[in-house]
Order: sequence, then structure tokens, then C-alpha cells
Amino acid sequence: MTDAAADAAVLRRIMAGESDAFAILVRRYQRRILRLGYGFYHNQHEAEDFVQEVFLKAWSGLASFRGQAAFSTWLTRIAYNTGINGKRVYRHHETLDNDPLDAAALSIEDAQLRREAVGHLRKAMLELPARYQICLDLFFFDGLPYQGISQVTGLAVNTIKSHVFRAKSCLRAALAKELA
Amino acid sequence: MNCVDFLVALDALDAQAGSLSALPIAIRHHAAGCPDCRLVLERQARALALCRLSPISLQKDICQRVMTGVLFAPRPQPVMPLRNWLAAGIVLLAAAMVSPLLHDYRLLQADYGNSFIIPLTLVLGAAISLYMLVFVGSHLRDFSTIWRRWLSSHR
Ligand SMILES: [Zn+2]
Repeated sequence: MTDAAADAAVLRRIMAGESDAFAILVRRYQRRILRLGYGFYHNQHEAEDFVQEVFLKAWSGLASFRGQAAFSTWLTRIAYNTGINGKRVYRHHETLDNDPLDAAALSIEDAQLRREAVGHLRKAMLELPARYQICLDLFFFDGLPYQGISQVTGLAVNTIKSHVFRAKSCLRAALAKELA
Repeated sequence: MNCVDFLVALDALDAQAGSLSALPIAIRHHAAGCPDCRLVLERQARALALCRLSPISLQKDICQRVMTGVLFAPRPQPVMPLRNWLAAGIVLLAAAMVSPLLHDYRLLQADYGNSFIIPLTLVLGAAISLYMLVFVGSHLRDFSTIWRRWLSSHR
């Protein structure tokens, strides 16, 4: 079952009266929303308040979700609009890059590769205006496809593609240099 | 596909195509025959997969807190799609317009003259009014959104 189909199944359960099933969606997407919260507020306390606000908005608007986009995209758009309407500017949150990873025991080589990759992406991102930083964050750290990022931010797919393309080329060149 | 085309295609890939098995055939084909590009591909795919791992500050489970808020919020009510509403309206209107052409209508007219027309019109009118009332009442938010959008586009 794809993520979208799994989400749709959970949504049907919620609409049939099983409110507790909403927790499945919260657990599935809280990290992405929390990352956005860090980008908009730059501190943990407000980022967590942001997550709660976004999920409550999603809950109360659930009946208006018509399924034209994936639930994850719809939810991310609520988060994006909540941040932007709160007069917040999204900036890639650097401290998240340096935080240790949860129990994932990486080999020394993988840990090194991750550090390098994240460092290069961060550099590429901080050179961009804020509204493009969120695109790269969603692409590289959340795995959202071009179309999804476009639906969230309202930016044209080709614009997003070209920024991702440039960041990926920089990353690839940097990794190749280190390999040589 | 040469090595330059390969690298361009690699950088243009969408997020979902990150796993090696999901790559487009041309990319896989070139990588299979070119050890240098295969190395680049594997290293980039590995690096991107590692970027998706969450740092510990994002691992916090805020579900309990969110669900506490959810339990105090009103339950989302299922809504009927707009096309069902429109279909119901059209059926109602068509019924009102077609009824004078029906055989039963003529029979009633033969028995009672025109005296039954007023109650019939009242019943049909009440049904249509009730429909309009419920339709508008349940779409107030949609109407206000459309209205605000219209206002902002004409300002
Ligand atoms: Zn090659």
C-alpha cells in the first residue's frame, strides 16, 4: 500500500467516527511539521506549539479535504500557510543539521558522508532567498516530490526543479572532489 | 547516453526516484556499463538517503499533546460533495417543472378542477426553499471564501 493509500484508509476510519485514528497521521507527519516549525520559529518551544496548531487546523478542516492532493501535501500546505500567515520567514534551521541522530548507529564512513552532504546542502540553501530554502528542505530532508512542493508553496515546478538541480549538482561535485 | 547526459539526468531526478531500483532505465543502463558513473550514483543515492534521517530534536513524540487538543475540538463532519448537491437541486427543479405534464396531474385536474394547484405549488415551493436554505447554510464558508477571492482579485 502506498503512503497516500494508507493515509486515505486512515481518513476513512476517522470520518466513520474513529477519532483516535488521527494519532496515526500525527505520528506519521509530526517530524516534517516540526522541521517546518523550526524553520519558521527557530526554537523548540514555539516549533512544538506550531505542530499542535497545524494538526488542530487539519483536524477541524478534515471534512473539507477532498483528496485532490495527497493528505501529506495538504497537511504540509496548512503548515506552510500557518507559518507564512503568521508573518514568519522560513529559514533553513542549521542546528538541526548538527544534532545527533536518533539511535541510528551509522558506520564512521556513513556518518562522515552525511555530515559532508548536509554541510554542502546547507551552504547551497543559505545562499538562496527564504522562499526557495523551504523547497530544498522539503526535497532533501523530507523527500517531497517537485509536484508536492509546488502544491505546498505555490511556486512553479520548473523553478523548484532548477533550484534542486543546482543544489544536487553542487553536492555531487563536492562529493566527487572528496572521493578523488 | 554519455557520462555528461548521465550526470544531468541524475541531478534532474525527482525525490521519489532516490532508490536504485526505481531509477529510469536509461540511467540504470549507463551505470551498469560505466564504473565511474556507477560510483557517483551510489554515493549520491547514499548521501541523499542519509540526509533523510531525522536528528534527535525531531524525534520528539508530540502526538499525546496534539490528541489532547483534538479531543476537545469538534468532530469533523462528513460533507456531501458539491456535485451531489447540484444533482439533488436539478432533480428537485425538474420534478417541479415536469409534474404538470404527468398523467396523474391531469386526473387530479379532472377530479378537482384547478383548486389543488395552490397546495401543490406551496408544497413544491416549500421543498425548493428548504433545499436552498440547507444548501446555502452548509456552504457559508465556501461562499465567503469565493467572495473574498473575488474581492481581492477586483481590488
Ligand atoms: Zn559514465
